[in-house]
Amino acid sequence: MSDTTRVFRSAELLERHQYISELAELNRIAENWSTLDREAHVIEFPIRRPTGEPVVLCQQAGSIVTVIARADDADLVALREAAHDLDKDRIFSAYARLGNRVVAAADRAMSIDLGTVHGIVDVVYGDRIIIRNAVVDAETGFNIFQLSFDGGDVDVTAFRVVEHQVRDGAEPLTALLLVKPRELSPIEREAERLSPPRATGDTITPAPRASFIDAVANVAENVGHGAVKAAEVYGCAVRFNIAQQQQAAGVEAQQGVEHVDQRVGGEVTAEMTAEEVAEVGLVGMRSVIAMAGSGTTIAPGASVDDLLAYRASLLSR
Amino acid sequence: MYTTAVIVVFAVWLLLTCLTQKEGPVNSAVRRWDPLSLLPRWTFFAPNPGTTDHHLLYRDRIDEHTLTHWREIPLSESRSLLGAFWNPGKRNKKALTDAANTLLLFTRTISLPGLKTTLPYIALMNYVSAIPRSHMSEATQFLVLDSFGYITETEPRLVVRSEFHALPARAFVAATPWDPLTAVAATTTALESLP
Repeated sequence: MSDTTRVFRSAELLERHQYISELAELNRIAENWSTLDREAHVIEFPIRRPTGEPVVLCQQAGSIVTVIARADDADLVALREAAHDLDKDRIFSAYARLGNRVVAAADRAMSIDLGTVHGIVDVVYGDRIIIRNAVVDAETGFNIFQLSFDGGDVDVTAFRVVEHQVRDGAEPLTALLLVKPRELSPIEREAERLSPPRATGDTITPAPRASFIDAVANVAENVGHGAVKAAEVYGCAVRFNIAQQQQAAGVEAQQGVEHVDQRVGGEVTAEMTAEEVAEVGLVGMRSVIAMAGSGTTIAPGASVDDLLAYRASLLSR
Repeated sequence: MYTTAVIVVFAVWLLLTCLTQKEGPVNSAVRRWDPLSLLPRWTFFAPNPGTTDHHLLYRDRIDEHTLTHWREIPLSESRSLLGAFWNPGKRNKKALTDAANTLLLFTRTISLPGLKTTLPYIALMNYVSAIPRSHMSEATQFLVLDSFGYITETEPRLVVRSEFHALPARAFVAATPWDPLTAVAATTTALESLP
C-alpha cells in the first residue's frame, strides 16, 4: 500500500464540515465579473517560471476557478478582497502570485506522501461532490481547480468544504470560487428570453403546417378506411418489407412507433399517389395511438437509458 | 434532318418543362407519361423550401432552483477549403441536423409524451447528456429554436423544449487541477470537447 493510499484511507476517519462564508458574495461577483473583461475570451495571467520561461495561466469564460487554501493564506485573502472590490488589477496580481507558487511547486517535482500533505478536502455542492480529495501540500499551501459552468445563479448556501486529515491547531481550509460567465450569443439570449429560468417544463409549439399536411388530411378523409388499410399494407410491403407481420397482426400500435422512426422525414410530394400520402399520414396517427394506448407514462426526469427501456417495452408489446 | 429532329426533341422537352412548373391538370397529365422524371421542376426536390434555421441548445439544472444559461450546439460550421477533402465533423452535424428536423416534423402529429419515445428525441437527449460537464449538474434539457435569417423582423420561435432528464454518470468529468502547465491544455481540451 502506497503512502497516498494510506492518506486517503485514514482521511475517511477524520472529517469535519465547514461552510464557506466567502461564497455569500459569489453571485455578486458572478454578475459583475464579465464587466471586468467583457472583450476577452479568457483572462490571462502572465507569470514566470524560475527558469525565466513565460507561462500563461488563464481562466476560460464559462468556468469556475476554485482556490483552496488555509483561511489565513495571504494570497487567498488578497484575492478574496480584490474580487469583492471587483478590482481587476488586484485580481490579476493575486492570480499571478498564486500562479508563481504553483510553478515553483511544480519545479520542485514533489511527491505526495504523509509528510507533505497539508490537508485534503472535498468541495460539495448540495449532495454532490464537485471536487474530490483535493490535496493541499505543505510546500504550496493551496490548490486550484477549474470547473466548467454555463452561467446562471448559483445557490451559495449549497457549497460546503469537507476537510479531511485535520491537523491540530491548523487554520481551517477554505475555498474561494471565482465565476467567469461566458458571453451569450444572440441566439442564446433569445433562448433565455423565450425560455427563462422560471419556465422549466417541457413544451411543444408545433412547427407550421405545410400545405401537404392539409393534403394528407383531405386524402385520408376521402379514401376512407378501406383505402387506408390498403395503403398501410402497400406502404409496409414496399417500404419496410414487413408485409407478413402486417398482414398477420393487422395494425399493431407498436409498429406505428417503428414506422415513425424508419420513415424519417415523412416527406410528402405532389408526385406521390393517394395511397402513399395516406400511408405517411398513418405513420403519425398510429404513433399517437401507440402512445395514448400504452397506458403508462414516463417518469419525470427519466434518463436516456430509462427512455430507451420504455421505448423497448412499447415495441415489445 | 438529324439536326431538325434534335431541335424538335429539345423544344418539346423545354415546352413540357414549362407546362409542368405549376400544379394543375396539365401537370398531372404530363407527369403520368414521365416515369423517368425527365421533366425538372423549379422546386427541385423540395416542394416546400426551408425558410427557417434550426438551433439546438441545452441547459443544465444545478438544483431545484438553479439553472445554467442556454448553450447552443452549432448545427453548422464555417467551411474551409480543407473541408472539401477532410471533414469528419460533417457526419456529426448531419446526424444532429437530421434528428432536429425529424423531431420538428413529429411535433405536428405526436403529443409530448409520445415524442419522448421517438428516436430523434432520444438521440438528441443522448447527445446532449453525453457532453462533458462538472458534477454540479444533475439534469439537462434541450431546446429547438427556429430563426428566420439575418435580415428579418420575425423573432425566433421556440419549437420544442424537452423536459429535464437525469444525467448519466458518463457525462461528468473531474475538476482539473489548475496549474500553469495544464491550464492552457485543459482550456484547449475543454474548448475542443464542446460540440
